[in-house]
This record gives sequence, C-alpha cells and structure tokens, in this order.
Amino acid sequence: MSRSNEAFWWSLFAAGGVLGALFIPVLVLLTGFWLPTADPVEAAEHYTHLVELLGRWPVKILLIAVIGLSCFMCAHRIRHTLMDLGLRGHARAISLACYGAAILGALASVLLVARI
Amino acid sequence: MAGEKRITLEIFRYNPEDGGEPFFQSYEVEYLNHWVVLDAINWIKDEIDGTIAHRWTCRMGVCGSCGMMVNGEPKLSCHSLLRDYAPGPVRVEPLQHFPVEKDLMIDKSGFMERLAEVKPYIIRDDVNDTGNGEYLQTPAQIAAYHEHSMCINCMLCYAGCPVMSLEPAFLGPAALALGQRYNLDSRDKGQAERVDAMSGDEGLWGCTFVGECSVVCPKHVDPAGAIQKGKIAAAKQWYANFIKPKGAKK
Amino acid sequence: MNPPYTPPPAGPAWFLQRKNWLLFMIRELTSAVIALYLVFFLVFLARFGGGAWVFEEFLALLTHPLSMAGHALAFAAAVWHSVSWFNTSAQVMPIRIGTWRMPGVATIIITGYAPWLIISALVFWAALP
Repeated sequence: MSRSNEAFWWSLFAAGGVLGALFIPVLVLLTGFWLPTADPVEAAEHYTHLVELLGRWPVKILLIAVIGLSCFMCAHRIRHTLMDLGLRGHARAISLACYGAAILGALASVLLVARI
Repeated sequence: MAGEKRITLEIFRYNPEDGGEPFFQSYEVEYLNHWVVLDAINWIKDEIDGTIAHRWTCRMGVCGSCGMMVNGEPKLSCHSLLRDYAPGPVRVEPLQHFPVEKDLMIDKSGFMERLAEVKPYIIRDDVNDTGNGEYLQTPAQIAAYHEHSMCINCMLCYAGCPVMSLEPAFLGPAALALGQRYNLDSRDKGQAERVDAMSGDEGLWGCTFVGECSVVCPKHVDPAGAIQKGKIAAAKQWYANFIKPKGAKK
Repeated sequence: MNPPYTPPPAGPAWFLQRKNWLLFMIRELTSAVIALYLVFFLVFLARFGGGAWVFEEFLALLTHPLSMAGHALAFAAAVWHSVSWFNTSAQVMPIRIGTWRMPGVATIIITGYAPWLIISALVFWAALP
C-alpha cells in the first residue's frame, strides 16, 4: 500500500477515534441499559421522542459521522493488530477485509439513519 | 575497593570468536551507595574479568553510549543506581532489537543508517550564505521543536519499541523524531526531501503509537509525540495534494 | 569469527514481554469489542426504523442478561478507548501559546475529559423525552 493511501485511512481512523471516544460510551449506556429498562408506558414516549430527534438533519449527520467514522477507527486498529499478531504476510487481504467491512458499515449507517 | 553492600550482576556474554552460544555470567560486587550499574561493570572489568566488552564514555547521561537492558528495562547504565536493584541479582543484557557484536555491545550500524535517511540537518538553498547574519528564531519558534532536539542517540527507544522486531525495516522512534524535529524548525525548508523516507510504510506509518519510546527516553524527547505530529502533518499534506493535484508529489 | 548474535524473532505473544506493550494490546483489542457494538448499533437502527412495534419487541430482547453482559463489556471497552485516547492528547496536540506550553494534565482535561462529560450529558438530555 502506497504512503498516500495510509495517510487517508489514518485520517479516518483519527477522526473516528475522537468521535468514538466522545460518543460511544454514552450510546452504550442508552442502548444497553437506559432504553431497555424503561417501563412500557415510558417506552412509547421514548420512541416518539427519538423519532422526532433523529428526524432532524443535523442529528442524522452527527450520528452517521459517529458510527461511520468509528467503523474506520475499528477497521484500522484491527488491521494493524492482526498484522502485529503475525499475519504480515496477508497484509493486502487483511486491508481489503477490514476497510471493506468499514465501508459497508458506514454505508449501512447512512441508509439506516436516512430512512428514520 | 571497599564496598558497603553486596549485589550480584548476571551479565550477558557472547563472544563471536569462540563460536559458542550466549550465556549469563554472574559476578558478585561490593558496592558503594552512589554506585550505578555502569560503575559495577567497570569494576568487574578492571578487577575480575577483563574480557567483558561494553561501551561507555561520559558516566553522566550525556554521551548516550552506555544503554543496556537492566532487569529487562532499557536504561542508561550510568543512570541506574545499584541500590535501587537491591538485593539483586541484576540482570544486564545488551539493548533489545539489535544484533550483538560482543557481550553488551550492540551493532549500531543499522541505527546510523536510519539517522542518515531522515537528513537530520537544516536544509535550505541559502544555507552557506552567512553574509546576511544568523537565521533568527523567536523563543516560540524554538519551543515548537526544542524537546524533540534533546536526543543523545542512546537507542533506548529502539529497545522499547515492539515494532522494531515486528517490522525490522521500521525507521524507528529516534530517527523519525529527529526528522520531525527538523520539519518543525522554522529555519528548515527540507520537508520535501524527507518525505520519502519519513512517510513510507517503514516510516511514520509503521508506528502504532505504543508510546513506550517516550516512556523509556532518558531525555524526554517524546519520540511518540513527534511521530504522531508527523502523521497529522502528513495527512494534511495528503488532503492538500488531493485537492490541488498540481502540487502533488509523484 | 562468527557474525553478530541476532536474538530470536518475537513470537505472536510478543506483547506479554512488557507491561506497556500489554496495555497497548488491550487498547487495540478494545476496537474489536467496539466493532461488535457498532454492528449491534446498526441492527438497533434497523429495528428502530422498523416502527414502534418492532422496536418495542427488540427492546424487550435487550433486557436479557446476555445483552446486559455484552453491553457491560462494550461499555468497559468504550471507556478504555476514550481514556487511552484522551490521555495521549497532550503528546499529539500540545496546546502552546508563545513559549508557554499548557501542562499535560490541563490539556488532557480541556481537550478530552471536559468535552467527553459535556457531550455525554448533552446526549442524555437530548435523548430524554
């Protein structure tokens, strides 16, 4: 892989690293603990509130940026970790798999957030 | 020499002339309170076993030649007080990630080649034109690179960096930090001449930011910080070239 | 005369040799856990987009202890990532005014922990009805 490509992937990693560090812990608390443990009456209210919140474009764009770029952060680190664990011989295949998966994840986040 | 306390040093021995495998040899030393590991090795060499080979010069953390693994940690042996390792034993080995010439002496030639690759000197067209006086810098311009300029080439950071064994062609912390030190120097115009060596897969992008180089550095050069700054600069340059292909390097 | 002695190459468990190498490996491996959470989050978005009824069914599944345990692991990994990321900010992007360099701890708090806290609170506040 040429040096210019690495600079590009690294910049996505860095952006995803920052956004992920700022947003993912609170998202985990929301999706894993707060939303599932709300009582059923509240749950309906939550849903309409969240639909309204995620209906706004600035919120949509922010969520896509957080999820999409975090995918690249993970892909970049997993790629380097696999190579560090002795798979340097398969560098090309690992890059394709990791960044390919990240691209799919980012695209999925765009489609899924846009349709809300 | 009359010491106060005793400690055992287990010294890594390798002699390329006898064809044998490396082994550890133990020496018991009586030491004074202020003795460092280097004092003990010098005493052993003078009084017990003159066949030990090791490098040292200044004994005060300036020359950078006495780096060794002390109990598994990359250390300047002149900065490692024996009393901190009491009751011992202290295991002394040559710096990790380097070929060993003899005993505690490593082969530095790979490191010297790496240093030369990043062109660690000020590059500008009018470099010899002293008629116009010195190249002035403000204190702020000096502060931009000063910490990264304190390197004494002791190579402890190479011993601390796992990438050196995973990717043996990696330029490594000290060389990359030194290149970045000149890139950050307001008098220097040589970034374009360093970019091929520094921005390759064996350069900045080989670094995974383990950060151990900055931890073991005895001079607080912070090579890890210098390398990450270099990555940010290289990424900005990549986008600048992308937007304006005219300025792109092939 | 024999050539210089070359130590044997490091095996795949090289990161066990030093404490900071191990901490580095843990930091990198948090990304695998976070990646699994991101996959979950995409499923979450898909269910959410499927309508109130589908989403409520999905939320009922998430009360399962396995989901809670998975989220606890994801939370630990995410926090580890955040902390390890912010803690390096003074090295990567030091704040300098003239010759004055902001102390590392202040840089880390101002560029990392404070925004993290504020953003987390804002997200909670925005997500609450």
